[in-house]
Amino acid sequence: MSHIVAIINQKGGTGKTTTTLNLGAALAYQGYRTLIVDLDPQGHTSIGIGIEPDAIAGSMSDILLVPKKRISEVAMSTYILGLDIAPAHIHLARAAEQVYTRVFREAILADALKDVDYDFVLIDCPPSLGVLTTNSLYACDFIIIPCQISRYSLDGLADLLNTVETVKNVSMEDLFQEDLFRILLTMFDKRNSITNEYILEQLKPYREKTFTTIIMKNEALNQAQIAQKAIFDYEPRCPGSLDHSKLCLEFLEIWRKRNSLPAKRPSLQGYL
Amino acid sequence: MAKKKQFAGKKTKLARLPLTQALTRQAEGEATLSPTPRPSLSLFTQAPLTWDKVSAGHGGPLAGAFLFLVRELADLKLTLQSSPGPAAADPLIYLPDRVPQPPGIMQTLRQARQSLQDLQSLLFHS
Repeated sequence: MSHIVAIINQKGGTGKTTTTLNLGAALAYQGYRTLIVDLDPQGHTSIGIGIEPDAIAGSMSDILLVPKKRISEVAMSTYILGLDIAPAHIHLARAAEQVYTRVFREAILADALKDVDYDFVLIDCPPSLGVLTTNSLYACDFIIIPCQISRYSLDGLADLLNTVETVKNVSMEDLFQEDLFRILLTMFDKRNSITNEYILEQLKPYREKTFTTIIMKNEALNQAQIAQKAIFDYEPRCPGSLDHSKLCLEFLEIWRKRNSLPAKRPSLQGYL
Repeated sequence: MAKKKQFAGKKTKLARLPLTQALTRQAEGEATLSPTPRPSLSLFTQAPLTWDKVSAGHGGPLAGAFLFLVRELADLKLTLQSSPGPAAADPLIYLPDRVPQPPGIMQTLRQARQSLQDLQSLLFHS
């Protein structure tokens, strides 16, 4: 059974796509078969891993629009061994509008993911709380919330927790105690000391639900997007690469504790 | 420092979230994750209450119930005394100077229940 992780924050620009792509790559390099589901109509995760949206045969739009369509029918290999992607196309935005009249529309993705055979499925969500994000919440069993060091990211986090409470039908307390989510601090810039101090103070109650790994602001992460590569393949020794390696290991540690995962597998490449 | 002062009172949505508030209280050792605070079982943790204060609504439900019951019993006793039949030995109702501690109230309420059961039994057999 695949472990399905949604990477969500309805605020844009918090690092969802960068997190999805690099965590997915890191998991694949650790030997875990991983599928990235690009659920953002902008298709940046697909582009970021080297897929050209206009050159694909099938995409997540088909999953939404064609009943009984399986994820395996649109998933494609990436240049990283063990990492597949179900790509997105801009048509996904229109498809999301069209499913508003469908019965059980919030369960379309969960249904399509039923028979997938991966260790991990990472869902990159759009920056909104619409039907696509609701589908992700319905399908997932763990949530990563990338949170940029800004006030609006905190507001996004609050809105998201309210939405999760509704969609997952769990109380906030259960959401907290059942270990269903982690906050990931991204684009951290040590020079912004006043903002950093304020945001970290606000997040203090959620300390045990925050990854100890912090993704520091790193220009190489932007450059890797242009190169359409995971950070490990663009600049393996840069801070962004090391941060995402640490994130992967911490994520796996959490996962082992939650789900009694098998012991650590040998790394296929020497990056991690 | 002047910049930080401008943050005062500016609450984020996250800070207003009930979960955040519960977690903050928990961190401060004031409460558990329960969203609604449980009522304190201790009614009289501060200075002893007078009966006047209990009459005015202070002292909590237990003290209020106690006073209500005592007054009802007093009224009942006066009614019985004014009715034809043998005169009661003691027409006066005594209250202690201060509202007793909860264990004392509970003990008194149990005695009152027993007395009412005895009274019911007497009336049934008379």
